[in-house]
Amino acid sequence: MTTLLELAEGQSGIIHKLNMDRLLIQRLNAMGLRRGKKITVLRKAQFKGPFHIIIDTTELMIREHEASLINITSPAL
Amino acid sequence: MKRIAFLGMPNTGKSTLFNRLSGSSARVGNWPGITVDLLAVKTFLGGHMAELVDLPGIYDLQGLSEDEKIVQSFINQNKIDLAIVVLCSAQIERQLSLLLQLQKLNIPCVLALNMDDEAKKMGVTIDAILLEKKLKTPVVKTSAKYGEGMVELLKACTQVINQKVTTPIKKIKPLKASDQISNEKTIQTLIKLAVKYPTKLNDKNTKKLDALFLDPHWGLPIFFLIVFSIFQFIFTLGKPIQDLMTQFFSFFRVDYLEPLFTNHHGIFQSLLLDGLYLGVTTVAAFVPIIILFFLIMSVVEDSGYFSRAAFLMDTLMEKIGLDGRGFVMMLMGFGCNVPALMGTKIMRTKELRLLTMFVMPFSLCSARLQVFLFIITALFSAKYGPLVLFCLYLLSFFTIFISALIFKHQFKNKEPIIIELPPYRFPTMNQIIKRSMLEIKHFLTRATKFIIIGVLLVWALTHFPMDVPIASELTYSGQLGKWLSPIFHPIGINEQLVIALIFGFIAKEIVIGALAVIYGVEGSALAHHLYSNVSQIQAISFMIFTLIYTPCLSTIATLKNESKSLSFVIYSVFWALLLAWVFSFIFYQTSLYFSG
Repeated sequence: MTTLLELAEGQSGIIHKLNMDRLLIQRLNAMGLRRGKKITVLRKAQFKGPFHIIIDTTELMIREHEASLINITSPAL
Repeated sequence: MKRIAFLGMPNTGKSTLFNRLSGSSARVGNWPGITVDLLAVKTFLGGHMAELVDLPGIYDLQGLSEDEKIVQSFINQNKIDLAIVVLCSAQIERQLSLLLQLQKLNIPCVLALNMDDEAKKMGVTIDAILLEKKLKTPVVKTSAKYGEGMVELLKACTQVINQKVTTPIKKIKPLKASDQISNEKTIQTLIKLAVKYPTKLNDKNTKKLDALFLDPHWGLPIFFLIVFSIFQFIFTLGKPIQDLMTQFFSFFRVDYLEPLFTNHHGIFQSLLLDGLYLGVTTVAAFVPIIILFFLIMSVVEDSGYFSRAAFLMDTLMEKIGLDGRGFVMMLMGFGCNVPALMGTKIMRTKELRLLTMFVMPFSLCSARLQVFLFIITALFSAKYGPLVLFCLYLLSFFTIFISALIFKHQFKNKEPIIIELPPYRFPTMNQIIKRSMLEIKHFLTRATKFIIIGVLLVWALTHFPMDVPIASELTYSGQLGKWLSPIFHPIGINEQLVIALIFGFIAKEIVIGALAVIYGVEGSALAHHLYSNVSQIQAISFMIFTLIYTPCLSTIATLKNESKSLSFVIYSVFWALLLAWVFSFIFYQTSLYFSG
C-alpha cells in the first residue's frame, strides 16, 4: 500500500482510503476525491511543493501533507 | 414574501447565475445568525414577492469552514421556500451530493445544470428529463455566462414556489456514515443512468495552457511578467485619473468652495474644507484605482489563472503560514493596499485570510513611494538614492515575511489547502463590470464614515487651540509631539516630523503637504529646508517608520470592513507601530554608533 505522495509525475493510482476524520473525508469527497476513483498526478511543483492532480474532470492542487493522507493502490492493468 | 437561496459549490458560476436573475440591483442585507455580507435582491416571481439570496459557495453542507458555517446558520435560522442548486455540469458526479443533502432537509429545490456550454464542448451529455424523474426535482440546463436557460429556470422556480409545502423543513444534523454511503450509491446509480462521458475526456486548451503557465522553468517568470503588466496597466491608467481627480478637487475648493466661506468664521470654513472636504475627497481619489483593480482581477480570477499562480508560489508561502494566493494579493498591495485587502476574499479559510490581511499593510504602496521619492531626492545624491529606495522595498518584503512567521501560529490554518484548478475560462464583459461595481459600492458605503471620523480627529488635533498657527508646536498635535518625544527621540524623529506622521495617518499622499504647512515652505524650498535640517540617518529612520507604522485610514477602514473585528484592527495597528519603532531604533542607533 502506498500513498499519493509516492506517485511520480504522470503516474496514476486508485484511491483506497482517506486517512482523516469524517468531516474532512466528506469535504474531499465533495471535491471529487473518493474511494475507488482513479487519480493521476499531472505535475509536482519544485522543492517539495504542491501536487497538481486530476480525478475525472476535476483538477486540484494538493499539498504534500494532504497527499500523504491518501492511500492508493496501483490501477488494474 | 418567498425566500429563494442560491446554493452550489465554488467555481460553478453560481454568482453569475444570481446576477443574471437579479439584475444589478442586488444589495448587501442582514440575516439572523450571520455576520458576513450576503447579496440579496427583491423581485417578483410567480405572483409572489421573492427575495433572492446568494449564499457562499460550499463543498459540503456539514463542514466546518467559515463559508459552510454561514450557510448552515442561514438554513437553520431562515425559512427557505426554494433552493436553486447550481452545479457545474461536467462535474455533476461529485456535485450532486449537495442536492441530496438539501432534499433530506425537505427544502424544495430546483437543480440548475450550469456551464452547459462547457459540458457540451467536453462531450459530457446529461439526460435532464431522466434525472428530473429520478430526483423528483425540476432539472434545468443553463449557461449563466451566456444567459441560456434562464426562462426555463424561472418557469421551474415559479412552479415549485406555487406548490403547497406540507413537510416541515428540518434543521441540519451531522450526516451518519450510513447516510453518506446511501447518498453515494444513489449518485452512482443516477450517473450511470443519466450521464454519458466521452471515452477520453479532452480539454486540450487547458492542458496546453497549463504546460506553459505551470512549466517548471518558465512558470514563475511568466507569472511575474503577468503581475508586472497588470501593475503597469492599473497604474499607468489609474494614476493619471487619480491625479486628475485630486487636481479637480483642489481646483473646486479654491475656485468655488473657499469664496463661499469668505464671510464665515475661519474655524467653520476650516472644519468644512480641511476636515470634511479633505475626508470625502481622500475616499473619492481611491475610486479609479479600485475600479481598475477589480476590472482586471475579475478577469484573472474568473480565467482560472489565479489558482495556477497559487500553485507556483505555494511552496514558499507555505513556510510562512500563507498560501500562494496570498502572494499574488501581496504583490497587488505594492500598488495599493486597499483593493489588495478586499481581494483576499477569495481565501475561504478565516485564519489564512486574517494572516494575509495582517501582513498586507507592510506592502510599500504607491502613496508611500511618493513620500520616499520626495525625501530621497531632497537628501540623497542620484548615486545613492535608488539604493535607498531599493532597500526600502527589501525591508517591506522582510517585514511581511517576519510578521507572517511570528504570527503564523496565532492564525494557524486548520483547513487543508486543496485548491481547485478550474479549466481556463474567459469571463464576459457583463460579468467583469458587474463585479467591479459591486466592490466599489462595498468600499464606498463602508469606508466613508470611518475615514471622515479619522480626518476630523486629525483636523482637531492640528487646529486646536484656535489662537495658534495651524500644525504648529502649540497645537494639540504639537503638544502630542512634544509629549511623545521621549519615544521618538531615540529613533531620530523630531517634533515637526512627528506632526507629519500624525497627518500621514490619514493618507501618505498628504505627508509632504503637511511638512510644507509645518515648515511654512513648499516644493524645492521645502526640499532645501529638509536638506539643511534633517540628517540622512534621520531621514532614513523617518522613512522606515513611515513605511511600517500604518498605511492610511482607507486601509485601516478596509481592514475593519473585511475582518469585521475591531480588535483585529487594533492588534494589527499596534503591531505595525511597535515594529516600525523597533526597526527605526535598530537602524538609527547602529548608524549613530558607526558614524561616531
